Amino acid sequence: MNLFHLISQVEKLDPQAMDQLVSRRNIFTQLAGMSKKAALVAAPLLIGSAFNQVLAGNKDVPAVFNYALLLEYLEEDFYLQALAKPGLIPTGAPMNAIMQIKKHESAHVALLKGALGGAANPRPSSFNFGAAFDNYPTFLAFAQALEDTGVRAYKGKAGEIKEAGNPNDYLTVALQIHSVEARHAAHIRMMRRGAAGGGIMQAGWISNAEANGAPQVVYGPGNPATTFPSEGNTTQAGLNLVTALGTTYTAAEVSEAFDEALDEATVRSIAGPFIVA
Amino acid sequence: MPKSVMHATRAGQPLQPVGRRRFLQVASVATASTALLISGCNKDDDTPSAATVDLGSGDVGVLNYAYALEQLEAAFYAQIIATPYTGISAEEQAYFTSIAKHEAIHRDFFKAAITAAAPGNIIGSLTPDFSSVTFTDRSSVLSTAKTFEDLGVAAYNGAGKLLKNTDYLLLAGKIVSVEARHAAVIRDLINNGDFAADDVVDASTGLDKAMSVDEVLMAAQAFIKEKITATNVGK
Repeated sequence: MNLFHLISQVEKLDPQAMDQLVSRRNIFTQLAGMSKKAALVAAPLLIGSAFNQVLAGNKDVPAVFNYALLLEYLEEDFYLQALAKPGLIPTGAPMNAIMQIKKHESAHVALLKGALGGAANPRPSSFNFGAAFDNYPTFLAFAQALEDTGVRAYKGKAGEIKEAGNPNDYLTVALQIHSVEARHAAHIRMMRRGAAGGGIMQAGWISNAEANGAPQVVYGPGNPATTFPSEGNTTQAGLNLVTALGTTYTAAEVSEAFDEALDEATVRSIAGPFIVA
Repeated sequence: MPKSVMHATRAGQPLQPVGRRRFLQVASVATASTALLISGCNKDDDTPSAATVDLGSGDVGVLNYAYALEQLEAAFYAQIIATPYTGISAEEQAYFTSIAKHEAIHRDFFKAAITAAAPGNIIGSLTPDFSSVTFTDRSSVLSTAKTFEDLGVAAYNGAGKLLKNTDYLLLAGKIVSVEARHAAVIRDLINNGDFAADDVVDASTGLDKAMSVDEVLMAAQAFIKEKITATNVGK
């Protein structure tokens, strides 16, 4: 394999990988410090492991970030359409909250596009959310579904970014977006609880796999279900927390204490119908 | 941060009675100008030095770090349930009851999981120090709860990259979003609409905070009697 061709390819794919390459180039300094014989033995190992990391980073992380970008495009457009419909969102606290959330989704789009650079996928031409904006309660139910799905989607990708060598500390960025989506989800859930004319009796967290009017698939198991169980899951790290901790806690409480991840295919099956092209 | 901490930090010396030891902890997070004051106070520290707890190294160190924070949160909410603040509403009582359960579950889970994975390396039970919290006062309780939840979110966000085992990373991810939900609800109780306000979610990047272990412990130490050391966490 042509090493320098590889370096230039990586640089083209992701200019921000330069930081990494600088440290990778220290390999050559390390090698230079060894005796000739030792260097000959060590070179394939050192170079191989370093470039496998870069390659993995460039293969997987852009894919993960483009997936995240698609979800952020979708969320941003969802709130843009909602805000564009006169009278849908009550003025005051509800309007302010939705504008704050929309601000974050737009910031996430910009951030992910910036990180991806030339590798960023374009925005789909349009999104169709069907009946989502027919009335305020329906809009909030959709919003809850999108936010809770977003939380599950980011959570499902943390391991891949880690395994790709966490280039540019993108794992931390993903986690920093993930917790913001959870804050959004909690607030939307509370908005539904506080809605005029009798709200949904739910809190900011997910109890069992209760959908409360949002699509059930958002809270159900993914694939494989062993890795991506439903939100009602009560077993963590092989421990059934309802029984293993001294039967102090109910299944509902245990399920609330842990959010569950969701795989990309299941998330895409939830989000896909809204993407026109 | 609780109001008393803010006072002590701003003025460079305590405006209201706080324990000497606690003052030193507060001062240690203040600006460099207080450094002289700290060294001046160290010699006549009137509290016996507390036991030191080291979190350990590698992934177990990160798990112990999470366990320590969950112990702190669980103890805090248990106290709220035991002595609810004046004028607590039924709804607030219900939220705190749930949050108290979640944090106790996190604590007990880490205890069980670390005991299973590395029985010789789990830290013991920590002694909380809530002397800065007025549990009868709603605003004192809520502002401390906000501090703990935002800190928990920033701690998990910052610690994710330290974990080598992706199973542990996923577990941390499952917990951090629940902490973020708590943070949002607590913030909304203080002021509806503050769930992801600009003071915690950067307005231009839309990112929540991520803090290093040292930064988190600097803030958390004031609430824990034992001295926590974390030199090798994640290493």
